[in-house]
Amino acid sequence: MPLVSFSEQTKGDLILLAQLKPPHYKEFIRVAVELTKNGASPATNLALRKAAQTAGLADEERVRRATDAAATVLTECAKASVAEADFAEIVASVLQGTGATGGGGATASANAAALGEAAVTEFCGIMGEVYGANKAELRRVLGESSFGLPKYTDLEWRLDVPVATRCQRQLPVQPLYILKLHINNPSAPSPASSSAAASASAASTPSLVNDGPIVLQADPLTISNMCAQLETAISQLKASSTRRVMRNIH
Amino acid sequence: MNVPEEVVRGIATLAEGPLAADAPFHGLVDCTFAILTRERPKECLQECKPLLTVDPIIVKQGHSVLVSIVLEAAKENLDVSALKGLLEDQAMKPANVEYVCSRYEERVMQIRGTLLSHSTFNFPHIVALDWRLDFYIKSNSIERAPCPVYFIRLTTLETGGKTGFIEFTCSWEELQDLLNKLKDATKQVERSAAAFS
Repeated sequence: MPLVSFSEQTKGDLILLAQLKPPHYKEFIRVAVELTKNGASPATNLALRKAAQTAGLADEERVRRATDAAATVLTECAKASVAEADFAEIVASVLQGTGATGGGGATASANAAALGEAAVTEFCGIMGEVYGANKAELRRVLGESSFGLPKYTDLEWRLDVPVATRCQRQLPVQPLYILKLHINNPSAPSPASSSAAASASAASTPSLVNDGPIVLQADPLTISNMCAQLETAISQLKASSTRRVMRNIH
Repeated sequence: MNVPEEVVRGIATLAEGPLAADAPFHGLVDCTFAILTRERPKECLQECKPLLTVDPIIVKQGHSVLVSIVLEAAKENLDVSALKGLLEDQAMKPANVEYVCSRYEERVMQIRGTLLSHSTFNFPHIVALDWRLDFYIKSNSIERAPCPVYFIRLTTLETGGKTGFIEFTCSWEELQDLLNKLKDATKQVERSAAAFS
């Protein structure tokens, strides 16, 4: 059973949300999902104000907290990849004041007592439906908000033999590989802002990964050494020690 | 041999005058070759005993003429005879010509290998590859099933001796793709070698 815990404030706010009429809290939940997926926008602010008006809620703070509570519950469960059946149970336990991680506070349990069985079931059902419909999307959005690392996309290679240079003619025949490595670096500074940042960071990190493909060269011997290293790396994934670690993490 | 006019005229400082005498000439030639092969620093020219009696400006002129001729000959990988011909045309003493040519023959490969081959530009040259296998389990925004991720670091050497790093991540499939491309590249050398032999 995955551990998903919510603060007392969130639990209290969720209970207050559930105390509204079904059509009203449906609208709040819908706006909460919208806010999580796409962030705040004039359209969502307008929808929120309309929903508050229809529900007869004048207190802006309460409206905001109710929406936040719904959003928090949905995102925390999506983050932990909670199954739909478990999700309904978690919401029910919050509303009934028992809570997944132990009893709620005095106010929470007092408010929970005001909700009937039927109301709780209906609320959980609606939240469950919304969760099921949006879980994949929510996980995608959450995944994107984590930082990205430079990622390999492509390698082009070319075999050259230098014949002459400005300072030397009749060079000995020494084949040379020219490699073009394409790397997708999501955290690379944009060209406009890079000049100051680059000069500051160039002294500390000699990394060559910026926007755009990187051109490199290598001897044939280095390339075969690299192949040997990469073969070892690839075979490690299927090694017994790695499989053991994978089994234990799961 | 493609040598500028002023250098050809400058050979006169080596052929006549105080530098044409045996001891200063040998001293100058030895020092020049030692400087070109990086055995001794540039200052050894001022410390060379036989040259102390000669005017420093003439020593400098003689040294620069000798350097120009030797480097031009080494660049084109010329035979000793070309160098001999040029020096004899400018009426240098045969013994001195012989001295310069024998030193040139001894040192030409070394000069080409060390000084000239490093006087060019290159792309960053890969010297090493390091890898690391991790399992990505969770982050502050999401938890997920463990997925393997490889961290690869290429160490590069640039002209000027600076070391750089290129670091990137890839999945197992991408690493397989990279390996296949490199294997294909190594096979190409064998195919080309077979074609040329």
